[in-house]
Amino acid sequence: MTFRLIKFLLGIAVVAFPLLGNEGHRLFYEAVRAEANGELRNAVDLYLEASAFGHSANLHGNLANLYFKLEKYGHSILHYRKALLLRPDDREFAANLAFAQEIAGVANPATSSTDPAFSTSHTWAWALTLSLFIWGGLTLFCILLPHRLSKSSAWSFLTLWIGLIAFLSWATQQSSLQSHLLTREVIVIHPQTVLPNPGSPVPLRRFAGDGSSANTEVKPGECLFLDLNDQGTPKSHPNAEGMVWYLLRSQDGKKKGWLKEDEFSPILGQLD
Amino acid sequence: MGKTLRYCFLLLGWIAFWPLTILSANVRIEAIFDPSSITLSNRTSYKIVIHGTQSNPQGAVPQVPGLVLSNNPRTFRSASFINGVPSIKAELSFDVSPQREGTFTIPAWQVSVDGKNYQVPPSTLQVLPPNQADIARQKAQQEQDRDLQEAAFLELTTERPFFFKGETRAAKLSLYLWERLPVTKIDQLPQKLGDGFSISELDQPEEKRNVSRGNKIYSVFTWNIGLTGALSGKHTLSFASTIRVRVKGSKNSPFGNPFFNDPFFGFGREQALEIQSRTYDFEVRDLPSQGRPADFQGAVGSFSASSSIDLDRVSLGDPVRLKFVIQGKGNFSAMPAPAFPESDRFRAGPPAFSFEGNQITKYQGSQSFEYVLTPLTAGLLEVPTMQFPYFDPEQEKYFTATTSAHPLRVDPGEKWAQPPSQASPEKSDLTRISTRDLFQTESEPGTWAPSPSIVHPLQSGLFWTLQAVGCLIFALVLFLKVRKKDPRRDALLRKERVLQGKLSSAVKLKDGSSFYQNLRKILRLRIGLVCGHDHPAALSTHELIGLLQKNHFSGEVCSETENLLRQCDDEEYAASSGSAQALQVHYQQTTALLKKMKRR
Repeated sequence: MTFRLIKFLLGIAVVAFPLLGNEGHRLFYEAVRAEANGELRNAVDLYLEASAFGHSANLHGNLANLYFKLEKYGHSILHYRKALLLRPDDREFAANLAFAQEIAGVANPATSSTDPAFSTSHTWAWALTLSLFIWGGLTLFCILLPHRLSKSSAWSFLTLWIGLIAFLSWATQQSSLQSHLLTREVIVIHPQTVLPNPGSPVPLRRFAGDGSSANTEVKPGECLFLDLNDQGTPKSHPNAEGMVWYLLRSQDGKKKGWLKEDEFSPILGQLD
Repeated sequence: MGKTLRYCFLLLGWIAFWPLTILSANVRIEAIFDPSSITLSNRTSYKIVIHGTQSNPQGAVPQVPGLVLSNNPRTFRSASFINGVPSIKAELSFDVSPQREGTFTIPAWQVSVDGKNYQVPPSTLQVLPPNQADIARQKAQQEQDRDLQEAAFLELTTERPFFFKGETRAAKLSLYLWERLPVTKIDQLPQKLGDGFSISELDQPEEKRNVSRGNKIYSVFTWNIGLTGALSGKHTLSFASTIRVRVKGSKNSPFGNPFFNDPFFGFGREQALEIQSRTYDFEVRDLPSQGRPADFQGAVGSFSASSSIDLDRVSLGDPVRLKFVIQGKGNFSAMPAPAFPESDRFRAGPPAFSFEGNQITKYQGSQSFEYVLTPLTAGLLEVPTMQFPYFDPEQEKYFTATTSAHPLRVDPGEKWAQPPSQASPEKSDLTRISTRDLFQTESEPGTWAPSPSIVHPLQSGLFWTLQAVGCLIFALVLFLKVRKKDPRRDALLRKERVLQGKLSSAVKLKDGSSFYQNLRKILRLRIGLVCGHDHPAALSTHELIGLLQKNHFSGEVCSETENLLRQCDDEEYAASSGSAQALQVHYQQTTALLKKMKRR
């Protein structure tokens, strides 16, 4: 009896585990079929459901395309950025993002103007090269110094090594700053609520409240950065209805104000 | 007892509020203007009250010409008991500004609440002509605006009063601030008003002080902008900005130029001040259709083109980069990539863009398009010429910039063969990859990742493991180096090795005199090493044996050492040369003895 029960449970496990793993795939294919049938909103829902099981560049790329077709440019730009985060060298995504930004009337985000060599995707490469040079240099110096290096060669070696370490430290720092900036970067989107015109700008309020007047306005698709408090967490204010407001500003600091949590979405998909 | 009371209160509370949950099934919607009748210079509110739910409604308010609704509504939610009957509702309130007199009706429209659609009833607003008080307020406002216009104003400078559609021209936008105006900051950068043009982003302005205009001295902030004609026809263009000024904080002086009444402008509150430029009239002309090239894509300006390839000899299938550069003045921001000529010899991917020049105005500079070409056939090929048609607004004619062809030698690959049946799929693949094919759906999900987040190296266990490995290797090398670095011991060991060599060669050469001299030296050296004596060469045989005994060497070692040392003395003072056999025996004894001492 016990043996049969174990066999039954093993059978369920063998069948169920692959099904769980394929759930994301299944939803993705269903979304592709829905899109082919012209059911764009249904396809969006299916892609979003699939993203609960995992993320892929193609998933976010398709989702961005759909949002573009639905004229939700803020959402479209957000998902192109996510797709590019997962596949940074994809020229097609980059071209589509530029096109969506052009149509939405949004300037390219400032982060894209930084040197690609110090972009987020190269942080690991810089950090590993730096540590290789530190430990490798120390070890080589230790081996060569006592007998095999003259005084002048040793000084040349030391100067070159310190110079390289300084440059690599600076590069790692630059790349880390980009990574840190990316954790704070958000894209402005329209909330799913009543609005006279879905393409209209979103106001950046002076205070955390619906009734507050606006400092300035931002277009859906524009990128802003979360302001951080002393603890390193975003400056936020929950109101009586449970809605949380966040203080955001543009990278040049010229635009600053409060937005509700449903009026923007972080590129990395989480608010700490 | 206390616990029982708490349960009773909880039960009563649930009984009191459970009807609220049932209410959500009965949703009723009202829509009103509050007030429903206003004069032209006043504002009203458009309120949508949804009874029976507190959920967020979704939908779009119909737009009515002549009424401007605020973008974001104020939201109120409430739950109450009226005469013992529970009631919940959600209320959305839009600010409404009329633009003209008349009666306006927002028609019935659909709103979605909790997935169900409901109809919002129509509501009507009556906008009356302005009354005397409104007219007086408008006049006062106009006078104030006139005064303020001289204190702060915007001015646009362009080369000529007309544009061609799509043409970008450099322009200067200047903000004049009277030096006596107590400006604390520029709150909002100048914004364009008018639909016929688009402008580039505003960069940091150039600042000039003590600029005289009329009888006043100004500080002038100038932005270099790119102005592009977007819609053909006659258009007006103006600019507006907001600055923050410090004004006299007197309640008796409403905003009727309060800072002009204060000779010192020193203290008081800050107030935003809107500045507007005069309205400029521009004409945007259509591009002439006569002489327009068939492949014209909208480039307007004065350009020259050049191209280059990075390799002139490749193997079949290897990529070649073709760089096509356009230089000059014009609408670089709206410039599409020229299409690579259709060819059965090359396949071209979507080009990469890069612009060198002023990134803000994008008016003057060079735009590069880098195509990745894949040769499809071997032989001496020619990368075809590329043509770039453009309209020159100065000469008001179309021109075509043409680049030269580039020879390319393509060596055949070893395994490559073009099957005839695959020719057509290759061609269809060629048409599929296009710069214009922006929204192609991928049918495969590709590689899955748990999240699009980035793991910083400092937060990664792998990174710290690698650091630990690097540190360990360094520490190991350092330890070995430090351990080895004992110069006195190293010198003695080197000397011992040399002596061993001499001993061995003396045996081979049957040189007894040299053998015993070196034998004594090597024994003294070894005893000095194992007993920690700095100068063993100065010790006699008796003292050496005493040293061994002092260091608790066995009697066997001591006696063997004594025998060998005495043998050395005998051989030295007797000047006899030992037989070859004796030398061999003593050599073996010495080697064994040194090993025994070394083991100690």
